[in-house]
Amino acid sequence: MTGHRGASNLANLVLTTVALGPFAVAVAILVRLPRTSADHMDLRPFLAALPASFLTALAIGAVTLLAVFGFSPALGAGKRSAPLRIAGLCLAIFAPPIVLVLVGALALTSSTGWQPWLPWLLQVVTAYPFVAAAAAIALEPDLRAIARVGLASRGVRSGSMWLALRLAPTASAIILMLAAGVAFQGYLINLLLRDAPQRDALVALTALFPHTGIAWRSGLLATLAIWVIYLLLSLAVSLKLTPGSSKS
Amino acid sequence: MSTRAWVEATALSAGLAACAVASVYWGVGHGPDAISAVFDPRLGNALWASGKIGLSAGVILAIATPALASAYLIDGALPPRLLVALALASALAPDLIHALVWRALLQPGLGVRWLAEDLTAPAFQCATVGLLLAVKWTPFAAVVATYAAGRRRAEQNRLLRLAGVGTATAFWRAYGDYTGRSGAIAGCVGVLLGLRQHEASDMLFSGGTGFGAEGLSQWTTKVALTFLDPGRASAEILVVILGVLVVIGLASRFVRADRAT
Repeated sequence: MTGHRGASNLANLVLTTVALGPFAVAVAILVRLPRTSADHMDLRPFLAALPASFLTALAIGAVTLLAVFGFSPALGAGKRSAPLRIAGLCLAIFAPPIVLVLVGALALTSSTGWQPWLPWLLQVVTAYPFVAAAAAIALEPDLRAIARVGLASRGVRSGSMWLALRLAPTASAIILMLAAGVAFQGYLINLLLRDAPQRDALVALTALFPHTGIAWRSGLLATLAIWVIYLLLSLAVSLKLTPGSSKS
Repeated sequence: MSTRAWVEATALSAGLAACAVASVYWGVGHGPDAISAVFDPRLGNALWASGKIGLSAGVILAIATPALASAYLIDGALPPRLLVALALASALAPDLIHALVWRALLQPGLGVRWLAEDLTAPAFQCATVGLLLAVKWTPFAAVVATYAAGRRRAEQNRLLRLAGVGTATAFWRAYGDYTGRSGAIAGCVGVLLGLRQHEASDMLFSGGTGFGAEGLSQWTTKVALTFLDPGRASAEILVVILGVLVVIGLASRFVRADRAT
């Protein structure tokens, strides 16, 4: 230890304030809000849409997880293409909402209209490139190590995806969370689903407030409920991810 | 499919997006759409707003991430588990969730008054959206940067022990040493997040005063869905995608030239 313990304590304080601050103030606002008859909004659409939204996000996370580990054999063999990856990542980050808008617009203006499977396909198409490219770059050392083990012990490519899944549960959890997080942000998709039955929980939430301007209590409650779910999931991942002691 | 082809196809899967845009343009767009898109002042306004949002988020992330990582670096410490969970939750929670909370914070008569007055002023609306994105991503970026510095942190600590320097000096040395890579990565991510964002600006300011905070995504949504003109929208996006590719190409050339020297 170098005698600079105050620095990390200060960093802990700053990070906690930044991560928790807005939500803590939101709780304070919620507590302070007076109960009014106008604020009795119906939360049932939001609650009804919530499980489907999370299940969709997790399903897309699982698909992405399998796809990301497909990188591992190539990484283990030392095959790289940094400029192409960077270009792919930049476009992947930039393009998805735009594609959604265009595909959605095309569907709206076409004679066939929406098909039931279209929203799910759009979710996969938009969530996958960003998460796959980002996770493959961020977890490259892990994936390389996994691939080396796989190539040394089995010498096969096709089995390495399953091997990676077995050897790297923590990395799997992170990718799953990342994919689920991105997939759950399919807000744009659901902008296009106003009249469809597969409405997303977030769209149901935005219907509550603040455009109505009156349902702050219901809206804040629903918002904080979603955040708490994310916090619990994150806590489960971080318990697997981080070492036992906070000091190295 | 060979592994190599699979990797390249996945890395460039966003190319499919560009193809989709091009196909829409091919199907419903017209030549004059592309020409008028280049000179469309609303497109220019949207690009400018997206740029300001991205720049705000990028600058804050580029400064804050290495600073917080350096604070851990000189201590040889890692963020505690609960903080990692908080950072992860903050990053993963949808933009919309953050935006709704900030909307409450900035609501006159409901949230923090001085905050509402300053951050909702027309001149600062783009910066406020950038600040929201930075607040959302900074904890996660700092945690990742700290964990990524494992070996360097140990070596840094050894040198600091030998030198016996004070906290401030150690911090600035670590910050100077660490700013380049992690700051640049965090800054680039911030800029890209700002460029592609939609929900935050929409929820906070509904496009802003005089469309001042109307980003590219919002504008193209409006063109495609409100004006029901996918041809024009695809033309505008093709122009933007070509611009992105040119920037990436130029950046790659600079990186290669830098390595060669």
